[in-house]
Amino acid sequence: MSWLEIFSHPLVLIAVGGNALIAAVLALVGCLVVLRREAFVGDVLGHSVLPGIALAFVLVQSEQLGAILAGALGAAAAAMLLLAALRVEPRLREDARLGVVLSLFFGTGIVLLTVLQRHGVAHSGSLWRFLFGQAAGITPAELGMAAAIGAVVVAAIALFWKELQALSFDAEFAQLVGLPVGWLELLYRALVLMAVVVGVYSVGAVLVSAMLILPAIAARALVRRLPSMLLVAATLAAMSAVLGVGLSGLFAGVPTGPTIVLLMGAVTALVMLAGARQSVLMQALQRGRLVWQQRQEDVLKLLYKRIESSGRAEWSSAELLRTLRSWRWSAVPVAFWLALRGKLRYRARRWELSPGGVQQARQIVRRHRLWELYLERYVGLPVERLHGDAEMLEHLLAPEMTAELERLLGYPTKDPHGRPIPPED
Amino acid sequence: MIAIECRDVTVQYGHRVALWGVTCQLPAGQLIAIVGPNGAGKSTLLRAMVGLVRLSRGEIRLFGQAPERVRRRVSYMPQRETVDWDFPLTVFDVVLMGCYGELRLGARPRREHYERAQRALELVGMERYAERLLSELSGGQQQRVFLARALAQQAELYLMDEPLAGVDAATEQVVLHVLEELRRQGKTVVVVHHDLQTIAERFDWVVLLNLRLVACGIVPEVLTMANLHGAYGGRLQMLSDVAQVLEQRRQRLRHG
Repeated sequence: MSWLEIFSHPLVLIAVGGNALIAAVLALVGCLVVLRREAFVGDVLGHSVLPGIALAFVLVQSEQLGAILAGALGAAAAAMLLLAALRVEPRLREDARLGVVLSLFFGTGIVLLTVLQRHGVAHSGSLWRFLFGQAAGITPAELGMAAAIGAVVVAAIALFWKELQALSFDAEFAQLVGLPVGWLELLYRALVLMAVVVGVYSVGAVLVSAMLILPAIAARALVRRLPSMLLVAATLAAMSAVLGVGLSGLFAGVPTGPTIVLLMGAVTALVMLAGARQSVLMQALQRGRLVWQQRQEDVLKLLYKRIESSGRAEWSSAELLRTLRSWRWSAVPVAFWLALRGKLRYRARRWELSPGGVQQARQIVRRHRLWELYLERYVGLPVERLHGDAEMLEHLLAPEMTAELERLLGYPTKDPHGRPIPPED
Repeated sequence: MIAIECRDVTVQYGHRVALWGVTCQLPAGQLIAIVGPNGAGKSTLLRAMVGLVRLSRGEIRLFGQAPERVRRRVSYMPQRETVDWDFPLTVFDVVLMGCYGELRLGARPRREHYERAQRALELVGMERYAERLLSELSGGQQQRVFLARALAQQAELYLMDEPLAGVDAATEQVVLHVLEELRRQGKTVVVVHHDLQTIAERFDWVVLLNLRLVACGIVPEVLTMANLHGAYGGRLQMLSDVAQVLEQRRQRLRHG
């Protein structure tokens, strides 16, 4: 089968849509979970749906969507309550509590499912799909349920955005300014519950927490702000889901859910690795930009000094080229860039500094000469050695530092070489 | 007028007593410092005043009412270590949270709130950092963000937990300036603080604490040798020394 054939099959389309939707919903909620450092809570909730599903099946004697959903939600909620209740026991730390609740619920779930199967309860074997998931087998009804829950989650996050943000960042403060922290906490827990339960339909109880946290971790490394983090996480998750369904259709025997999770893991690992390198890359880029800026200032200074020494303010193309080349070959592309920026202009077949170019050049020369004077007076370096040192720092002097220098030097008009210091604009 | 009234305030964490029978009245419109040695219960008292800590005994009233009933009139500034400064929010996002108390659930901040957050940022000299991420701030800048968030609340009573701990000189100046500005506006400001010199110079009123209340009153009357000895030296200090020795011996037994 080709990609086209896979994605034109209606059942596959449902699987693609359903998984992408579920992945995106989990990713959105996962952002809040990761920021609150509760990544492991998702794992506990995912594992704890099993006994609820088994009990619901026993009660209604069928795999009816509503009943199973209610059972899963109920069990996960019970796990959450138990977690909270265990907080009163000081001998159990958070990690131990999570471990205890997870094994208790998961163990019960496995026992119940096994008993149901051994006793030959009809269709009970199909319940095992909730353990490892059956992402490719999402039914239209389940897609509808995922869409409904997704809509609720998105609406709740959009509506209570500022409250959820405040709660996640500083819950005590949120309480003190009068936000209904109890209700908001409940809302947040409900969102996590719903997302996890809907995720169980896709990748199953064991892998659902990966779907919850991986896209959020990747997004966190990629972007700086919270709203973009949510968008990026949801997008990455949905893309992984689409690709995962496609891959499992393309290669026979490749399971859909685990493939989706593996893709998310790969994306996350890539982002973390590239993110580390990217920062090196960004640094190099920034250094490059600084050097480029310095070169521009150097060329402006060069031309300004030519005006000073020769009194001529315009050059033919050949003259300009000679001047630049005599200083440094790399000055030629820099001058080209300056011309593009309008600092240097071509008029009546002659090159000249534009008024803006002159203005900028004067300020550069001014900084340079003030700095030279300061070095001579306060550092005591001989005049002939000054030039190089002054050159390094003149690009970095902030306006207020320049003003401070000038004040310190008593508003001088000449530099150590006897050349005029241009006034401030 | 009395801003804060503590009656027999006692707080226990498990078996450990953090505050013991503190009774005092703090006047409104004053700059008040809470001082005492480490572990004296200073932060606990402050947290009790806003209702973040459950009292085992006693009662606290703000403006004659229970803390929960006057939330809008009270602003609390926690120690900056209490939050995750890696959280992907900007400085402005956090300062704006100071206005959230007035907004209904789900309501967006309006122009007046943006303007107020902006003014608060200007008061602490952080307006140029409005769009900075929290993770890009220095410790002093973090402290100023918290201060700005508290100012954006426009409260009558400000409770600040060590706003001057471990900050740079510039931030210290900003904080002290803001404290005086608040007093000038007739607000009541209670600050947990360590440096006795600043208290002697800048504060009106002082609460000297060491599990129990040692003294409470205007600065020149309370900051006496006898009182300081009572808080920092003396018998209570000895008790805690004994406790420390016992703890060390227990550690040795466990690892020995």
